[in-house]
Amino acid sequence: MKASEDLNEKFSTSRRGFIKGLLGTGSAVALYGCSKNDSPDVYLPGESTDDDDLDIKDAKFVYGTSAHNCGGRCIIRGQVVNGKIVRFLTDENVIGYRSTGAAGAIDQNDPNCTQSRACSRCRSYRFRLYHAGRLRYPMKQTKARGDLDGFVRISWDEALDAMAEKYKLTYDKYGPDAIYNNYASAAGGSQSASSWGTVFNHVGGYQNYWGSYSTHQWRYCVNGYSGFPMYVNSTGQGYSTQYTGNSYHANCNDIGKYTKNVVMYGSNYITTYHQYSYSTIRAIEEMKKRDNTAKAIFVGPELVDQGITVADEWVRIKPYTDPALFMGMMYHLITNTWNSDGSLRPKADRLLDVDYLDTMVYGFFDSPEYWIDQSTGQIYNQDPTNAPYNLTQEYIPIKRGITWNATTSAITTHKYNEIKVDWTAPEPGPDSINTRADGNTTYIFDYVQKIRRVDAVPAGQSLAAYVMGTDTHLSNADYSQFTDGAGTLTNYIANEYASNFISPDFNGKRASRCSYKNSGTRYKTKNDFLTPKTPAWASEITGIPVAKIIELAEFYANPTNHPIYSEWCGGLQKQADGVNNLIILQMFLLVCKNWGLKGGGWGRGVDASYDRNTGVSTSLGNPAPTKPQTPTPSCTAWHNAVKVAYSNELKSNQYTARWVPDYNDIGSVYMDDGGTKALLAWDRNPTNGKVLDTVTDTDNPTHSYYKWLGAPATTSDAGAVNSATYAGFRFITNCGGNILVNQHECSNDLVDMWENIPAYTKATTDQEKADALCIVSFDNYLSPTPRWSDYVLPAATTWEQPTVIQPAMGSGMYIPTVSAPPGQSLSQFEFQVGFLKKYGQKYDGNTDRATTFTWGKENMTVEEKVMENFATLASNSSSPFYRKSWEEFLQQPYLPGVQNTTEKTDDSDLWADLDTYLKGNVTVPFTVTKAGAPEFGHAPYIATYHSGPKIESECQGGFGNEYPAFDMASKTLDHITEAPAPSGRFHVYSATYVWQYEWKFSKWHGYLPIEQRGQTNADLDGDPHVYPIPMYFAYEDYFMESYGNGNKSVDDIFADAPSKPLLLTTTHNRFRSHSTFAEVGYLREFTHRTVKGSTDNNAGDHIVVPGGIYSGDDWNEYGLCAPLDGDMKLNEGGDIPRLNKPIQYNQGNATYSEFWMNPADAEARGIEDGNLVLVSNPVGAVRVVARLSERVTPGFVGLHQGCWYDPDRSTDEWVDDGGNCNTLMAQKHSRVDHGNGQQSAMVIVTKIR
Amino acid sequence: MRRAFYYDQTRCMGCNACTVACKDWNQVNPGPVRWRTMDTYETGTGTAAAFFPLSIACNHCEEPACMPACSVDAITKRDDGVVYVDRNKCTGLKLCISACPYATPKISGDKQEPDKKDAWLINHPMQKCDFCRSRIDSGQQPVCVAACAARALDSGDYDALLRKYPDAVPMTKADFPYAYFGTADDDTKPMFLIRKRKQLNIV
Repeated sequence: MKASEDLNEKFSTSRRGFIKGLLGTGSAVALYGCSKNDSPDVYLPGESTDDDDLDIKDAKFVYGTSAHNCGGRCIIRGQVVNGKIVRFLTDENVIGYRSTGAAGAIDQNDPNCTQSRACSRCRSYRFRLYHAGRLRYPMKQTKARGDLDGFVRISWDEALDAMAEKYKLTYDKYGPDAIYNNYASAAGGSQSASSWGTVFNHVGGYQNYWGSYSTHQWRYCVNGYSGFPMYVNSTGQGYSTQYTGNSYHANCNDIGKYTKNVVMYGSNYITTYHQYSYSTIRAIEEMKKRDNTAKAIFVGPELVDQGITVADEWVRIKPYTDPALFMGMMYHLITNTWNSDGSLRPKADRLLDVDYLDTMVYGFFDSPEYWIDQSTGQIYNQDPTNAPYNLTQEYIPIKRGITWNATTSAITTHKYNEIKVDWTAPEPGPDSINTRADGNTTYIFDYVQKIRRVDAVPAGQSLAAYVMGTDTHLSNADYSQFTDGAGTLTNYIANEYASNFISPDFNGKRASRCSYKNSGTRYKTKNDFLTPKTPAWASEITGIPVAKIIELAEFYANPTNHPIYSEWCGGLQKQADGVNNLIILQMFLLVCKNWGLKGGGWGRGVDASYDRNTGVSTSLGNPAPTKPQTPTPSCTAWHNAVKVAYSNELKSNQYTARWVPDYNDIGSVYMDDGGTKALLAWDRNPTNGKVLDTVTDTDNPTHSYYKWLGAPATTSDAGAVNSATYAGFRFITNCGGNILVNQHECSNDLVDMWENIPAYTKATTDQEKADALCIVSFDNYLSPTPRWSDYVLPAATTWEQPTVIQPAMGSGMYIPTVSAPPGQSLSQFEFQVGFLKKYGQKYDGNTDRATTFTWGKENMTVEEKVMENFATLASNSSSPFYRKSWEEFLQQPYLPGVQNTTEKTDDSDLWADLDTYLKGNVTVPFTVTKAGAPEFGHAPYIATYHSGPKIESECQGGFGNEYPAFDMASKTLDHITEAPAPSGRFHVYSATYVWQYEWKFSKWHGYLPIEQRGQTNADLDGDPHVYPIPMYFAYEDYFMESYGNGNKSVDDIFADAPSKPLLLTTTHNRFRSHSTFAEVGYLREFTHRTVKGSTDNNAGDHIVVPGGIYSGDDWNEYGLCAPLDGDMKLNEGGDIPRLNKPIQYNQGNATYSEFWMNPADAEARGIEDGNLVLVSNPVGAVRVVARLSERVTPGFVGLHQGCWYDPDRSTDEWVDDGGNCNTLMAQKHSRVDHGNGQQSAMVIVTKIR
Repeated sequence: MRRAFYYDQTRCMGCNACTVACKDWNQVNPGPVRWRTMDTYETGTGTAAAFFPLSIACNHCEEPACMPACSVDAITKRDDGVVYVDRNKCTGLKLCISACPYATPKISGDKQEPDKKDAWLINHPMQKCDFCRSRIDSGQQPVCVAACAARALDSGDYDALLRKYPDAVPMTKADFPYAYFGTADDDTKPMFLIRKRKQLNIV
């Protein structure tokens, strides 16, 4: 009867063992034509081995760079012979160009050196360009999705006609909400996948996504940051401060000049961000050269190349347990500051600075509710606007961290004060953003209330209370103790609490016995609430010796070691509790006072600093109409959107979600995911495309909701809950992406789902066509996502289409077509123009769209547009291209930047003010003198989170942060009376964080009963799922839920296994960029091995390097391509067509992905180096070759991400011979952000042969 | 002049740009044969484990053991020290392979080297690093050195390199046992200087 219950009910199918067969067992498999004879239009690089062809004296090289998503954009230059690239060189430039156009020498020894040398990935590009498996013409799936026998060749015209029809019919029925341009990152440059947004906007709009598969969790841990200004409005989910420094990239000048120590939490930044690898290595060299006591410590389960290269020490830790390390360290710091009777140690014997914590850190200890006068710092135990104080509430300006120069329009970002700001829309008036001019500079202000209420941190719920459990050090400690160590003075805050705040709600103790509730027994995390988080406790969990935990705690707490730069890289967050992992790191830095100094704080990696010329514009900027507003779900939410949209069809096709053990909990597990519940067909204002905000809530008149199509006037009207149309995603474009099968968790379930959803290609009526699913993939290869798509269209890659790409450390660069794309492959641009033309021809005769898209000139090409841009540069005397001819430009289209000495961070004024205060009279309130807006007569506290995130319902990036009580005029949480108030201090406890979790997306949920709006904050026992403090969330709980649906403990789940489960992560290695390059021979050598690779494999009499590479010799045999006669064919694929193993399964030269395990774990399982092993868990299994190495911690195993999913469908196990790590990942989302926690799995490893 | 390679073990990040650039430049197909190898070698277990990155090609030895071992005189040492093989002369006796302490000479199979050249006497004559003769003769660095993003590789005159990198040490079996892949044990005076890495502390 209620819409959401109806949707829930749709998923209550019982589990059945039936699996819809992908392929008939008798399907004939022909030899696949990868050979040169069968593929006349495919040049194979191995054909040319004649050195005489490659005379370097007359060699012509063409500049280029990568378009794949490795994080880098290094320089490669292709030597072109007869229209083919025969080999590559890299950057050899010695002169760079500044933004002004001025030239400068590139210093090879400088950490910021801009000569951008490529790594093995780009050096292998010849075997990517000219691979036998390249797609060559459009194909349509005529059988079940994924059936390799079902692809037939079609024309581009047929493909574009189908796309136009599917778009139109779906749009007419569901609006833009059901049309989805999927997250895809393998084709960068001026015509990336996201440029489809522009195309779709020309015909009516589409559904976009929020976030990224790289940094989903991290985006919940930052409060705006400087690296990506476009996210300023979309991050800041609470719990964060800029004061801990470089939340994104650190800078090698800072590290070289100021940093005293570096701690890397699983960092493999130099692998993933190759362009800054030299900077990282050199910066740490410079640090050690400056200070011979400086250390680089690597903390992680797998000693990746960065650890080998720059670390002095490797602290081996079990994966996913970093928070336990921090808790153990905090326990040591607390118990070495207070005695067990609660008395404070003498000041010299303390590891924590108590006055600092009291003054600046909110939530480390329990604390009472209070009101603060933000201009004086004085606190009150009751609202001081009432008697007896009768203070006047007023609004005081806080200067933002951004200034705008009215003359030059230049925007200056001041790092430490940077807080979320909408500088484009200054509005006068109190409690809003405003600007004031000071000469040419316009400061941007927030007006905040002078008197602010601050919530209590309830007894036993502070971070310290959690750390201590039942321990008495703090439950005996009174705020009334003298903190000065001389027995005479205490600080202002502690003194106030002790003197004026004691009440039935606040007993004056620093931290009462931990009071978080545990209503059951199945969660290890909750069973540990009362356990003191001692170093011994942490040691048991992390595997780190107690003495090392203590040493690290003292290392971090000792100011002489500061600034310590702590690097989180990426893997630390991409786990089941990734948000929490980053939060606790940040909180720990705050507790240790390790913030606010140049070279300190946290960062994702170290980058270079340089000045560079713009070169040609990278934004080709095809004009597009304004986009209609849609909800913007998480980029990871698509599979839920699809499942909900096709719930009836999945059920009737006997889809049982057998790879998703917690599927029965669809209501709590899936519907809340990343905005899934918001994906209805919406009602918009026809003139501006905005979703109407007009559905009122009669139960709560201050609340209003977005209007879904067909909604009544109020949520209480009869039929309201049944009036919603769930749009979901019904037309999916995927341009150079592999998310839909390979790069999202649980590949088995994803293909199971795709195979059981009706296909547009088989629909007959318009109604069916609008409803049925259509996936269009545009790619270079038949990688797993194209394989399970309905249409597969061949794409040109870099060097085969004119494109503009911004390299890592230089100017925007034009790369022309130097090598013909194979077969009928098109550039992204040609494809897009073709779609717009086809849509016009088919539906309304409108040709303007395509012309508008091509910059207002009919049939204008990318090359012509670049020529136009170049002509402007060539006539600009300040451009390095001044008076250059087009031919000269093509010779040297690239302008490297020039290194500089710019530092990224500043010493924080707040740190300095606080330091001065703490050394002086701490009995008076702390106020800031340098920051803030003293020129306007106020010296307010700098709030870490002072006025809440800006809430802009019309801002796409802000999706989910709109609330029913949101008032368009106020834009802040301050005006939502239910919302917690931030304290103006660093938060290590945040009620806002919980509140936002519970209310997120709720403005889109008017169609649901009130109790189902927002996100349910409950675990399987009904206790909270999200807490206001970071905790150690035991990984066993995640697996208990995702593998056992809460009914079985991890021990029970693996009770029958032949050996103990091991913990798996799936870091990037050097030799793939996500799943790009998985097919490239030069790189497979490093990651793939023959079973028991030996010296006498068929490769010949070469000597195999001991401990080295045992590569197979299958470089021209894997991958699939369709020959010109129209049928997909395979090479010796055996009975079942396979993707990566067309070589006969048992053949000696067939290779498998390497799987890293510790020799001790291998020995316990009878496994030797080179054995084929089965790695399995309740959601999947892979066959891989074991590589034994001490570089992985005992108990931990590593399967590097990016191999292509290739299930053996001859049995029900669907064992993946491709070795895709995501085959082993549970689909359950990560905590808090509902993102991709896809580095968390428990696996059983057994020897096959 | 004694041409030599220099390798900085403290900088190498194992990216293998050098080995892939080598294969690409020298038109060696994917497969087990590589003229330059890079891997991180391991010794010991647990906290006593040690890791040694090493990128190594032919050492262009002062006294190359391969050269006298070859009965058809296919291997030559130039005046500048470069040791190279004339593949047209090789008859595949593999005596060089057993003579080389570093297992530098390599022989391909049919998959990796599908096309026999007319001038070859056998299908797969020995192949190895020739210091990118064509590049150094035109004043360029070998492709591996030009490829190295960490600036961990260099080449030049042995004595000049020693002056440029005073921390570098000559490669010896005592210091770098993992570089000695072959079975032979001669001191061939390898022209290879290495800046050695301090071992990692493991806890």
